[in-house]
Amino acid sequence: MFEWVRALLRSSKIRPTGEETLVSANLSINRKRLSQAYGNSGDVIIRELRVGPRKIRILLVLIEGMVDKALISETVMKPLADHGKNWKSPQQAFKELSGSLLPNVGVRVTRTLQNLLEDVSRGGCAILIDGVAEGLSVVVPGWVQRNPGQPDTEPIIRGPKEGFVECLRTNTTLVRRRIRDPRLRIEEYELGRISWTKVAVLYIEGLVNEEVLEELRSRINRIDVDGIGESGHIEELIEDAPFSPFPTIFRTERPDRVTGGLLEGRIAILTDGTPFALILPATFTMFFTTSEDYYERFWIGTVLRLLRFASFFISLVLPGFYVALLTFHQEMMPTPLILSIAAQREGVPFPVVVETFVMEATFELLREAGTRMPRLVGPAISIIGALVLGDAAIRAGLVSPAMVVVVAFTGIASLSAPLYSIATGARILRFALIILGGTMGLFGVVAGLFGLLIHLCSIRSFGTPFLEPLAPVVFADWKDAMVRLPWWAMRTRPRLLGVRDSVREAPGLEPMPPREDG
Amino acid sequence: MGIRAKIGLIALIMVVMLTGCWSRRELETLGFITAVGLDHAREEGKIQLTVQMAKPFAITGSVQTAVQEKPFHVMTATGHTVFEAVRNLNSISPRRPFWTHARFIVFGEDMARDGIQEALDFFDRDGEPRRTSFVMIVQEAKASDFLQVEFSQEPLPSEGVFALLQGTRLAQSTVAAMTVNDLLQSLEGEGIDPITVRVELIRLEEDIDIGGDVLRDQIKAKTRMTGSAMFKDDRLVAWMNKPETRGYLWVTGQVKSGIININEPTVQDAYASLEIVSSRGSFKPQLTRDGIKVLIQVEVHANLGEMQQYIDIRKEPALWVSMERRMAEVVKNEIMAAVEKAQHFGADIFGFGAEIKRRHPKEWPRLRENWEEEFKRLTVEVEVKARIKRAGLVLKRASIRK
Repeated sequence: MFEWVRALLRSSKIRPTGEETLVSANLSINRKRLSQAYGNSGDVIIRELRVGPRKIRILLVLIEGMVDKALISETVMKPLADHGKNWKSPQQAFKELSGSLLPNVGVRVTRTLQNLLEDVSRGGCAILIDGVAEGLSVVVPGWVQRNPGQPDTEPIIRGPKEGFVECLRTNTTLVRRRIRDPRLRIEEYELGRISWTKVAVLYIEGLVNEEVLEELRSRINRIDVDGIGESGHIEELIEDAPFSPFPTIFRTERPDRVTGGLLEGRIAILTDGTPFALILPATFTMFFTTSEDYYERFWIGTVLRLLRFASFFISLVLPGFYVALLTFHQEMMPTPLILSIAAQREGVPFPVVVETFVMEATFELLREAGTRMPRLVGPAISIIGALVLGDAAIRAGLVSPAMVVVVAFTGIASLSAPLYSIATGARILRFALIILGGTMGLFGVVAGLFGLLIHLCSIRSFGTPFLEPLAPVVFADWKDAMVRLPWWAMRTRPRLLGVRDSVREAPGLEPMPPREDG
Repeated sequence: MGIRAKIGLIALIMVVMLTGCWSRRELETLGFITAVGLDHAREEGKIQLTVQMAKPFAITGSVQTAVQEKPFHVMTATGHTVFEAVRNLNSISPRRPFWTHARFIVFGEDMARDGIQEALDFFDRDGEPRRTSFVMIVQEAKASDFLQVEFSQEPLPSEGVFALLQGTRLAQSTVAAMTVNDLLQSLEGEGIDPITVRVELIRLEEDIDIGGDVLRDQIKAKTRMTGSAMFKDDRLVAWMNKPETRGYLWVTGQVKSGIININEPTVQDAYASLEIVSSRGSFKPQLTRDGIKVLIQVEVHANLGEMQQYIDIRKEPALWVSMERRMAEVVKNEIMAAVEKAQHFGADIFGFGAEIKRRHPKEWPRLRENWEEEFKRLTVEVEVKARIKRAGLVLKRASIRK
């Protein structure tokens, strides 16, 4: 059914980039080519210097705002000024510069102009010397970036308050600082023909399953797009179930979650330009956990998880169930309850299914408005939402109070999901269940749920069944699925596809009173 | 996606769309029947069906003005059959009668005496009425009158009657109740006759008008539960009062709680009340040469609930034993009263016959021929084990010191 979608997507071709151009010995030619490449962009600085008694012509190319200016003057300009007077020839200058003078870490010597361009675009400074058919580049990026703060999308009470930021290097540091073992591997890729987005694949050598890693590498290498906007872009290009309403790759803004995933033998993908990291393989139960579950006492972690599963189910089913009961199965409700609801519906001019559909849609509308509106008009939204749509609609007899209760309950349940992306799946399916419930009653609702269950059973995330450990049943992993056992009871890593080195704790860590001597 | 999947998908979409909300019933088009009454109609051979329908908007809800209104409405239709009467209801009720929430079906005494089987068939056969509705018989009145009964604490009379029934069963165990299902089973079964709730109508004023849709602010009829109605086959033959009913419940092991009053020996007209906490009852028919003998065994545990006379139990252990003995006596008397009444009318409400059929299947065909006579002739032996377990929070009553 979805072939046409795929065909449509395939038809948009990306323009290939140019061929390799070698660095010329003639500085003027190089200069011309470089300024052509950037097309006189305002932020590109191309500066020619004449250094030393021989007046050796040196060309510096950098982009303002991308480089650390202080660092450039300290590490590039100063050596030029100090040593320039000793240089007898351009060759000598180049040799000294590339060999010992530049104290920076990332120095590259190259023969192609493209490499120079790439480094300039990454926040580097290209150095070309007249008479030398080679170029030098020093990468000293320094751009404005926000500090790692508490992530807005995953707030917690107890736990690290650091979140990922938009800079890849900062993000990898945040992870590296938590896992210092050199077995933490960070493989970097550059994706996007035009955007040149840096993407890092993180895993722990020895814990990760090589086959999954290899599969991920091949999927990433397959990506050939003009640009990567956000990690969601990558997610859609590499996931296993592209048409599923549920995500099969976990996303987080929290370094501690990434760390936790890595220690379980999972793989993380960090993308430059976004604070959202991807973790894979992901399972259904993972989406109902928060990192706080692991930091607070396990009892509350367990209870809250069960509550989250319940609220997910409620947010999915409740309106459909309500419609089905009220339209088809009036005999199934207790007499006082059905009479009370009947009393409330007295005078409501719409059928239950229409009423429910409209009210749920209204709620979604309010929610969307609440997300997108400028913060300044916030009070207006709450007045309209709460007073006009809630109270006035009931007073006007357009909707029944019970309906508003159902919608509100559904909304709260939906908002309580720890991960937005799993809740959005339920958000859409809820409407399908309302229609099924309104046309076929409970039979329709149950049929819809069965369809959903079959779908969830059928999808995988990088080889791991999505419903693991519930289906297939892996009792060993129930320790950290619906419930969260104490740390000393979670001795093994989850049984992901082909997990290696499964034991993660020494036995007998349970705190106990000291043994008597003898 | 293969052609099969495509066809499957199209079929699935069609299932949803083409049903067109088949058998959809909007809540506000339904008239919830909360109680049903059946009588002989004035015309010969017709059945009068009276239903009590809830008026939801008058119960709670957003319409503020309607609270003074009675939250129910009584309407009547007649027909040669119940089903005809049911369909005739549609011509007077703008809301489609909806049967599943009927708490009970009440029969007028006249109709019950003439037999209820014909009227019951609809409730057995039709899918909508529930077999869990209780069956009640109203004494010396018509069912249509009974549906006018009201309670000042309970807006919906059907809920009130239902609560009354449950309360009486739990607190007193003086009412034997059968649902439509139980009743049908005991009608169908051999060697067992039905027994069900007897309700009394207490008229507060003379003029009770059927119609019910008039706004009235005074309650004109009340009710109370005072025992059971004994059936012979499907005909009402006798009323059983409270002790007799409990006698029946002892035998069938249905006593849940209740009070046993015993007279204290030391002082005249002073009573002690024992609260039944648990009971077990069973009976065993024995076929002897002298005829059928039924051994009834009852075990009762009770707590001392009240004593009108000052007695220090610690000092008088003999009294404890004698109280237990007298308690057993009361139980035995109740049982005998029930058995005698049942035998007098030849109604085997206990199911002695059914038990004989189970235990002595070879003898039963012979006995069945003339079971009514056999039942009237059989002898009963009652064994009661009564124990008083606790004396409440005090050992002796607070006495007046002289």
